[in-house]
Amino acid sequence: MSTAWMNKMATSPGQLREKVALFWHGHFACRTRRPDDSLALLNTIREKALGKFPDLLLAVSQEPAMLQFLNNQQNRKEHPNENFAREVMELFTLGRGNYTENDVKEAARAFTGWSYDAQSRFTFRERQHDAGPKTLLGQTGNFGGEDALRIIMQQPAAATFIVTKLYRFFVNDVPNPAHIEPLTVAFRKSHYDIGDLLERMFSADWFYEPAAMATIIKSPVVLVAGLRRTLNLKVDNDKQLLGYQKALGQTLFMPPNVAGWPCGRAWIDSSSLLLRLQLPSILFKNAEFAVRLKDDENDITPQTTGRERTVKNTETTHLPLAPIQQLLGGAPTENQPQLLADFLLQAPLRPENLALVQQAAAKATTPEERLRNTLLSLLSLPEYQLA
Amino acid sequence: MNAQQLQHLYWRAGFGPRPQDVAAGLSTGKALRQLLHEARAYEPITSAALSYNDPQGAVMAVPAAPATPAAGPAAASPAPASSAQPGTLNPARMDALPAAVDALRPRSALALRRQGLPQLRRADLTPSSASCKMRPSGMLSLA
Repeated sequence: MSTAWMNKMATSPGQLREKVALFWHGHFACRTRRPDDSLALLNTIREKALGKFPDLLLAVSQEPAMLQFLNNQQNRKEHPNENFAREVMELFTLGRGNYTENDVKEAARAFTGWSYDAQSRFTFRERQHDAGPKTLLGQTGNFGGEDALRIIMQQPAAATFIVTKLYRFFVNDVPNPAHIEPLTVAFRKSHYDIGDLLERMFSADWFYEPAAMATIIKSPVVLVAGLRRTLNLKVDNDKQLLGYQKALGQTLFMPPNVAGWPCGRAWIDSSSLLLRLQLPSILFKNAEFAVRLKDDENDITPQTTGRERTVKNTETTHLPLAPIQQLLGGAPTENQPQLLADFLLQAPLRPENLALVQQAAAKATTPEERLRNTLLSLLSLPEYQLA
Repeated sequence: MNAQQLQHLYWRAGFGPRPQDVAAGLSTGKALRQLLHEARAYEPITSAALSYNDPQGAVMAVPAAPATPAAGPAAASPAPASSAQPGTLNPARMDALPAAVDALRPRSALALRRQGLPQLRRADLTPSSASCKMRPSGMLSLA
């Protein structure tokens, strides 16, 4: 399931949809013991990722995976369970401090009876629903779950909370109120149209300012998917990549807690940093190994069985150099490191690093090896961790 | 700087630029419109490999086949026919009494769980099926 989605991220033309879905996957953090429910939740998120936020919120709230994860099947008239109502307000829509403890209790009553049946379909169990009057965020009525979500989305805090979180994911980890304020107004005016919001974000002038570039630390998923996409990497055994992702601290469908993955600096710690820097060489050393194996096939170790070879080959990545060579065109070799750095790094290459890269490239004997060495040393720079 | 801006967009709105994206040399506005356009289509992630079965489903798939050849004589012989437990049935007995065996549907096949998979319960594994029959059927559906 993870590999299927990772493939989508690396190859799908619908890049924006998958990227936004990755954001919502962390926003609506959920882990279940039923893979089919998790997949249904993911597909719901992917389907509505660029639509209106209230539609997405309602659909996600009614997914069995989410109802199960936040214990709403225990939320009954006689014994309300506040978990679901609390997380909907704290993590999905308003953020802490924009609702009272009483609002949580009243919203929990509105969500009573939301459940799912044996075929993993949402059902409303009327006998468990508390139909009495409730006072939620200043409004009173015999609210049900849909009403509660509608009232929550009428709060000004909802737009601010969601826009700020999207901004921190897509633009800069440090939110700038001067950028966020107009976006929030437009977001409310468009009835929470996510696609429209992102279009505004990506066409703003401040989005392309040098100060906005290379300010985000790539999450493990973005790092791996990005390596695959930018270099047209062919992966034989993509399950192996999931192992690296796990070691780097991000396993899809397994967020650490209800708040999802902490972003930004939290990705880098002493144990993940080394692996992050070494990941390209681990992947490409494998690739080199596979190439050498093919060369040797005829003479040196004829006793090697075909099976042994295939086992090794299934765990490798193939780095096609042709697209990169095409990009470089006929550029002279001494310019190649700088050109490649412009393509691979979003931060400018420092002179001392350029020297380092040229040193690595000079060790090569063939043009291919030279190119490979250049790539590898560029990808291993700390600057590659930024996007 | 323009190429850098274009790459910036591809990194933020997606998972990085491909060499051909940079070579195309679109303006950022055009590239954004293209990204938005291409993101419009949605297709669910689904395939045969992703349709998961309950782990117990594998156990319960046995009744459809006559008997597992993997069950050695040690496993096959001591099982009484009345246990109605699929994996332990003696293949020889099955051949001798086709009608009787066909009539004996495993009790576990009657209790449907979510997704309609039969559930293997402890009661089905105990040889004395008489005591099982005493149970009210309502007890079997747990989900």
